Amino acid sequence: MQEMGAHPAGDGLVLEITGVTKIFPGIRALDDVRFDLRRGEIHALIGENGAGKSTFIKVLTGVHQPDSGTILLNGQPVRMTDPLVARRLGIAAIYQHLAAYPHLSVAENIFMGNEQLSGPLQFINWPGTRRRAAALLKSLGSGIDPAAKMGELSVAQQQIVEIAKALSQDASVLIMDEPTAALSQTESEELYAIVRGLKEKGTSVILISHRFEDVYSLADRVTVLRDGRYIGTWDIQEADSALLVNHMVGRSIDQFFPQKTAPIGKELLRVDKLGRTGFFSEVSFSLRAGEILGLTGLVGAGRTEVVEAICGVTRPDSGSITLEGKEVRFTRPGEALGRGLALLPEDRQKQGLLLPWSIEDNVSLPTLEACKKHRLLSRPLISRLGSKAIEQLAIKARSGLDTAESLSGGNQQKVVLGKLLSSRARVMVMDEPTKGVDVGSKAAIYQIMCDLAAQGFGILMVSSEMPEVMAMCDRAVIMRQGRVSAILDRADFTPEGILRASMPVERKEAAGA
Amino acid sequence: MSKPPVKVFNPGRLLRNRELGLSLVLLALVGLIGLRNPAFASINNLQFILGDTAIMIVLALGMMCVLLVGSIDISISAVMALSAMTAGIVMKNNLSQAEAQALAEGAVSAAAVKVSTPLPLLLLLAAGVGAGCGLVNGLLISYGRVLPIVATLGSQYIIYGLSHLVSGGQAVYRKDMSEDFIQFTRGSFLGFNSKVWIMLAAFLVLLVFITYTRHGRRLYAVGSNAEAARLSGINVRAVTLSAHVIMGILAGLAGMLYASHDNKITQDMAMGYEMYVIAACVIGGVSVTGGSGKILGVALGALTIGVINNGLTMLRLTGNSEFWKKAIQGAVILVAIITNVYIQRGHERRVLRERRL
Repeated sequence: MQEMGAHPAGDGLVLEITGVTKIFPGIRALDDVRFDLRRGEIHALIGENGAGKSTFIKVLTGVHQPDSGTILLNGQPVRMTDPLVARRLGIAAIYQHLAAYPHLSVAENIFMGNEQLSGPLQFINWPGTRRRAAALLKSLGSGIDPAAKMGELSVAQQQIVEIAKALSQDASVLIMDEPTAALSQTESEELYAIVRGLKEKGTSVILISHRFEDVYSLADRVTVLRDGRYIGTWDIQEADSALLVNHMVGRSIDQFFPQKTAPIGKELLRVDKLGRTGFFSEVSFSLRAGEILGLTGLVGAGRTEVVEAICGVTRPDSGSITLEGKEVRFTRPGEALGRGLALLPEDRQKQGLLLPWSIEDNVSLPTLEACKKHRLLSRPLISRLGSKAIEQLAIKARSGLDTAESLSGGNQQKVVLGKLLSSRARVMVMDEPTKGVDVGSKAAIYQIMCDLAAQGFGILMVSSEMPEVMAMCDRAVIMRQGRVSAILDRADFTPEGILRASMPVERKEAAGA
Repeated sequence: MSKPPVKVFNPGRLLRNRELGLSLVLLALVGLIGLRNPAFASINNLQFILGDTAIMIVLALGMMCVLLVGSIDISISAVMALSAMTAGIVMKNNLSQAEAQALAEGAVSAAAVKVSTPLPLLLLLAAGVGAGCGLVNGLLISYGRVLPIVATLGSQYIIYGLSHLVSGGQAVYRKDMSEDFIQFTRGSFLGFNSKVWIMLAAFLVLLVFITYTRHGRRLYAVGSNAEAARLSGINVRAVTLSAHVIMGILAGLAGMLYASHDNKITQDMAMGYEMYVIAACVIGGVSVTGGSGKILGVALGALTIGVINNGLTMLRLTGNSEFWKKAIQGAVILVAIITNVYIQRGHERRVLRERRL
């Protein structure tokens, strides 16, 4: 690990950040974080979900104000009081999803907030805007039509438009948040080439990525964050992936993931040639009692769509679903729940919880029928359910009357798990169960999953996190572009194998669309 | 990804051109109603419809701005009433003085031409009142974080209340109006009513504003992706606020047109008009979730409603029953909107099917 003192301040350092702390109600999102960036360097920032990467970026771009800490830009202390300030100082960020205006044209997306004006009335110069946009895109080696609608471009093309946008603002520091999350292998390599080109021109890049491949092929140095804390910075040559993973997780993998010993029993769920037009097709797999089955692939591969179709959130157009030997077709999630199939949705705050409601009200929601006494709801029965969940899942709360929104991410997720448990379902479908959850709660959730498997539940886990899939699953179904590309047994798990099966295959026809 | 996109002729693109589609629907409507009653398709009547719809278009322009940022304003008829009433009361008070003065000077012709506060000042006053209402709505929504429909539902009643307060419970009649004001919507130029010209002016100003100014484009940006807009340093709240102020100004102006046209200002003038205006925007292709909509579409949407309204009267399908007329209007508007939704969905489904899995 190298110390900050190793670099004399001001010597080639574009950015120097020390002691940055950001506190949100209930969490220290950033705790005494430091970070530095050299001129013309690509510095990777990695960490698990919830490690504080996005908060860090938002502090750097002026979206959030830090509670303490200093930011030196070219040796001068700066205060990013709002995003405009950061932009004027030459710091541009390319966010993963949220930066595009889907309804507007490419040219307009590039120059929004930085419009090309002309004439005494300062009207927008549309021909000039389109010309400059075309020139910028061309300098990136891209022929995207500046008049095209942003929402109709592919993710890779949108990514390039975002880079063009940053270039149009003469950014000296470019922050890229998961730029390759939804790109194919070739697209990623093309992006790498563009980023290397920027680096040669002297732009400094902060690269946030889940994919070690990105980190190793681009970065000069890598910094790890965990639970909002700075863990360390390494030159890329001295950081092997095992070391990075250990630092990201905070302990060695074997200690982190519980030993799963549940015996595999009879088949609980069988999905046969399931399809939904435009989202996925011919998806087949089966899940047995005591088994944890991973469903993985890149963002946009159709994983969530598959589990939603299984659980009756949406309806499949073709194929069949067999639950404990009987063919089923659910039209709403409640029906699936009644038949023993429970879903832990991807976005717990929007889909999993009623945030202003208490823990016990949330937990009892799927099973209110069982909480009735003399045909009316019984408070004591609801409370008992709540207390049971708190005890069973070790939810950190004063009582079952605490509201869900007052809990930390990890404890919120446990409440959603409590909902599933109270439902007496036999099959649990968990969509990214540890997303945005701190490391301690992650370990607890893994333990719960193993316990459930040992009790004979079948668990289908959707996950993007490679270590999680490799350590927790008995088998993994890998999806790519809406189809199952491989089903691997635990013995055959390798990061390369899973990645290879996840990567989209190039299609000539798709190139221009 | 760096390959140049292949531009192919896409008939779907043409079909998706809502303005074209809407123009065809409009023409078909005029043709069909004209077949049943040739008087409908006469130049005279069409000019009449245009004049009649002008006020709705002026309002729809403002509503479009509000919808673009992802908000809505259902208090506009109340704003129209309050603005017109305020200006009307000022006009009424100054009118009596002018008459008295004229009589005292012994001028013979003075009594024949009623004078009062100059019309431009009255218009400015009404626009100012409207802007004030828009400002309050906008503040409630952007800084108070009240849901737009709730905020303007509440402000609607308050504004009607103010209108009552200002009027003192009395209506302003033709006898209280200056000659200028009465003639305001009765003049014509090149065969078109002055309302049409005022509407055209508003249309052009808005068109330039929304296509060529930074602020105008930011209305789209905020509605298209508010979070992105915020991240790129756009003051989302100020933009939302401004949309409501624009709506308010146009509602004030429209209130004056309405009052002059009707020769009467009552405290609950134009009640229920907001629904036509919102419907005009929706038919014209403005997304109620914000971010998309074209100004030409909005005008065509309003014209469609104008044609339907007039056509229903001309066809005498419903006798003299206002009740049935309203019911049919509602049904026709719903059919138009549902048709639009289905066309849109059909397009989305085609896109999904074209995706290769």
